[in-house]
Amino acid sequence: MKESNAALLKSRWISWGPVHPASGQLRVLFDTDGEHLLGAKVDIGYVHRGIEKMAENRFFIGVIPMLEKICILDASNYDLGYVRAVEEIHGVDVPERARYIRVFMCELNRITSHLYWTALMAAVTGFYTILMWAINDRELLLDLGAEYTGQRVSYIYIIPGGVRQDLPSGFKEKAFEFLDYFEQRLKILYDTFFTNKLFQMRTSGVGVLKKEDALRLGAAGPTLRGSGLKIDVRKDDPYEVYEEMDFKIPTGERGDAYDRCMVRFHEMEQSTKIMRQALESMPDGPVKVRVPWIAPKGEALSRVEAARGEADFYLLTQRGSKPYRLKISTPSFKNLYLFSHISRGHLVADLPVLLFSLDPFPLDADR
Amino acid sequence: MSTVKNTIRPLVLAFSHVFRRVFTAKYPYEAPSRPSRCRGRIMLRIERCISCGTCEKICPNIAIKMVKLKGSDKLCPQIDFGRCMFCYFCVSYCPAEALIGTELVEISVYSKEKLIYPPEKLAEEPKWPDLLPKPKRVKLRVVGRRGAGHVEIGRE
Amino acid sequence: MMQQIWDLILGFLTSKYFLQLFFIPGIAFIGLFTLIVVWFERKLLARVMLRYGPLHVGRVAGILQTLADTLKLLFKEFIPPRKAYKLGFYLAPVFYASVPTLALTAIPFSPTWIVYPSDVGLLIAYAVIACTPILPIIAGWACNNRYTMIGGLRIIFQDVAGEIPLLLSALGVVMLSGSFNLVNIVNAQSRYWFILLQPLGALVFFISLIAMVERVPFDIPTAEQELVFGWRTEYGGILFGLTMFGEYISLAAGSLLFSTLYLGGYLGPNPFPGFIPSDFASMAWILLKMAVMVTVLIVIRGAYPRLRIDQLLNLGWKWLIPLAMINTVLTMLMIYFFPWVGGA
Ligand code: SF4
Ligand code: SF4
Repeated sequence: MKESNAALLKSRWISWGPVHPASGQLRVLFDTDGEHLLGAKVDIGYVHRGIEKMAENRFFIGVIPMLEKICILDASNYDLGYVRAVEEIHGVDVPERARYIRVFMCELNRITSHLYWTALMAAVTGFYTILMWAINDRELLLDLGAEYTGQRVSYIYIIPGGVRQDLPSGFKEKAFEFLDYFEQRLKILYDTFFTNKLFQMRTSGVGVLKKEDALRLGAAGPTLRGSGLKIDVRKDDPYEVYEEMDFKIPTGERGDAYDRCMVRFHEMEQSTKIMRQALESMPDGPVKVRVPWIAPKGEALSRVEAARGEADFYLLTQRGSKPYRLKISTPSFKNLYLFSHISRGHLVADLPVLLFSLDPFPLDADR
Repeated sequence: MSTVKNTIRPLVLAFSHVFRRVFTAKYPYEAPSRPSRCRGRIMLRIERCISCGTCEKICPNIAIKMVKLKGSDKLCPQIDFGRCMFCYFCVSYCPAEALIGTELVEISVYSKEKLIYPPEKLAEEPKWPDLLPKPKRVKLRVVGRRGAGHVEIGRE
Repeated sequence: MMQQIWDLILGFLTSKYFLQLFFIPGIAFIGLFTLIVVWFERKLLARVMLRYGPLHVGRVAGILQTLADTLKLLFKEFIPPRKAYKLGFYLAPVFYASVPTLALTAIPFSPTWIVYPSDVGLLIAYAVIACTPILPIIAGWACNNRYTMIGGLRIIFQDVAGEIPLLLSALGVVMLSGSFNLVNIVNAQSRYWFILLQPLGALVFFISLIAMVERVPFDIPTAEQELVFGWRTEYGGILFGLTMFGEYISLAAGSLLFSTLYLGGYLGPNPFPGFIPSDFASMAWILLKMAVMVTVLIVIRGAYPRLRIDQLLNLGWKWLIPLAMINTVLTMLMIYFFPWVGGA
C-alpha cells in the first residue's frame, strides 16, 4: 500500500472530464502506468445547485418541478418520494386510481432511464447503433408520457393528494400497442447488444463488486443487485400499489459490469410487466383529493426505489406553507463512491465501462 | 457455438435494420403532432383575468410579474419565458381560467428580452414562426413490419 | 518540331501511365473513392441506426456533403500545440495520407492494368501496409500530449497483433497459386475463388485486416470515449482531413487486397465482349468486389462495440496466429492429396 502511494505521488494525474466526450459533468482523476490504472477517483460537484436549500423558499407544490431536475431522466420517481413525504405529514389518503397511475408513471420512467443508460453504455463502448436504437425506443415511451401529461420528460404530474389529471381517453389502447412493440424492441436490443459477444468481452470480469463490499460500501439499486443481493424498496418496504403487482427482482451473480448491465435489462422487462398490470387492474374513481396549502408541524421520511437505486426524502415542517428542511439522499452519490474501489487494477480502456456500469448521473450526485 | 451465434446475430440484425422505417422526423419540415395536453406557450385571455395574482404567487420560477395593462389600471400577468419551465401550475390554479395552454413550443428568439411577454403579447394567438417552413404534421406510430416511425397524419 | 512535341504530349495523355496516374488507381479514383465512400458510410450507417444521414447538401440524398466538409476543413485554421515538435506534427499526416496510396500500385485492376507489375506484388503491398503505423506513432509523440501519446502506443500493439496473422494467413493463397505475383494469384482463381478453398485463411485475413485499417471493433488507437480522439486529438483543419483521407485509402487498399486474394480479383464475365473493352470489364468487377467489401466493413462498424487493447492482443496471438498456421498446414495437406486444386 505504501509503495503504491509513493508511486501515486511520483506519477501524474490525468483529468478525464469534465470536458470529455464521455465523462458527463464530473471529473475522474486517474493515474496510469502505460495502460494500467494505478488509481482513480471521482471528483463531483460541478453541477451543484443547492436544491435542498432552494426547496425551503418554495411552496410545497413548487418544490416538485425542481426535484425532478435532480434526475430529469427519472422524474416521476423523485416526485413520488417527495410527494409521499408531504402526504405523510398531512395524513391524507390518496385515491386508489391515482396510486395505479403513479406506479405506471414510475415504471415508465424507470424504463426510459434505463434505456438512456443503455444508450450511454453503448456509446462509451463505441457502439453508436445501439445509442440510436435505445434513444428511438425511448421516444415511444416518452410519447406515451406526453400523451398523458403533455410533456416528454418533465411531467410534474404527481402532486400531493394524487395526480393532476386522469388518463386521457384512448390512452390504454395506445399504451398497449406501444408496449407490445416495445417488448419486440427489447428482444432485438437483447440480441444485438446485451448478448453481443464483443460487449460481453468488454464488460464481463470488469469492475467486480463482491457481495460484502457492496453492502459495506453502501451500493444502491441495480449496482447492489448486480452483486447478488435481493434488495429493492419496492419489495422490502412496498409503497403505493407495488404489493399487488407481480414482478421479480433480477439479480446478478458475479457482481461485474456485465451483471449490472443484465440486471438493468431485466428490470426493463419487469417494468413493462408492471406497467401492463397497472393499466389492466386500474380501478375507476377520482384521481386526487384536496391537500391544504398550510402543513402542520411534523416530519416524514419516505423511501422510493428510483431507477438508480434507493432515494430517501426527509422532510421537516413547521406550521407553514413551505418546507422547513428537506434532505435528499440520492443513489448516484452512493454509487459513485464505489468507483475507486472497483477500478482497482484495470486498464484505461475500462474507465468508461467502469464508470457507466454504475449508471452515474452527476446531477443526481450533486443535487 | 453460442459464441458464433452471439457474434453473427448482431451483424444480421444490424443489416436488417437498413430496410426498416427511418425513425427520425425531418423537423422542421415535418413536425410531430402535439398531444392534446401539450404544454406550450401560455396564452392570456385578458377579459377573463380578475387580477387576483394567484399565478404570480404559485409560479415556482418567479417567471410571472403582475404589470399594468397599457392605458388602464388593470393588473395582468407578464410571463418571462426565459425563466418559465412550462410546469403549468399557473394555468391549473388560475381561478378564472384566464390563462390557457397552447400547442406552440417554437418560441425561441435571438434575445432574452424578447422572451418577456407583456400581457398584450401574451393575449395574442400563438403563431408559427416566419423563419421556419410550414411543417407537415406527423405522428409517431407503430405500423406493420417495418417498425415504428413518424407517419404523416391522414396517411396512416 | 512543334508537331513532335504535340505528338509527345498527345502520346503521353493517351498512354497508360497518364491514365494510371490520373484515373485508376490514380488521383481521380482516390479522390472520388474517398468522397463517395465517406458519404456512403454515413448514409448506410445512418440507415442501420434508423436515421436519414446527410440529406440536404446536393440535390440527391446529400451526396455533396463530403465535398462541403472537405472545403470546410480546407479553410479551417490548424493550431499546433505550443510544445509540439513542429516538423513531425506537420509531416506525419501528410505521409499518413500518401503512403497507403502506394499500396494501390501493386493491385492488378486487369491482367495488364497494374502500375508496378512485379513478381512480388503481394510483398510490396505488405511492405506499404507495414510502413503506415509508424506515422501515427510519430504524430502521437510529436504532439506532446498524453492522450496522443497513449494513442500512438496503442498503434504499436495493434500493429503487432494484426500484421503477423495478416502475413501468415495469405501464405495459403501463395501456396495454392504458387506465386507472389498478384496477377498469377488472380488467374489461379479462374476455377474457384480462394475464399471457397481457404475459408479459415480468409476469415483470419479479414479480421486482421480490420485491425490494420483501424476500424470498429478495432478502432482502439482513436477510441473516442477513452482518449478523446487518440493520436489525432490535436489535429484540426486539413491536417485532420488528411488523417481521415489516409484512413479511407487504407480501407480501399485493404478491400482491394482482400478481393484480389480471395474473391477472384478482376475475374468476372464480360457481358458484351465486343462492345466493352475487357480492361474496363475487369476494372468494373474488382471495383464491384471492393464495394461489397466496403459495405461489409461498414455494417460491421454498425454491429459491434469496440474491443479493448489486451483483448485484441489475445485475439491476435492466441487465436489468429495459430489459426493462420493451422490454415497453412491444411493447405499443405490439401495440395499434397489433391494437387489439382491449386492453379499452379
Ligand atoms: S408554467 Fe410554471 S414556470 Fe411557467 S409561468 Fe406558469 S407557473 Fe411559472
Ligand atoms: S391570470 Fe388567472 S391567476 Fe393570474 S391574475 Fe389573472 S385570474 Fe389571477
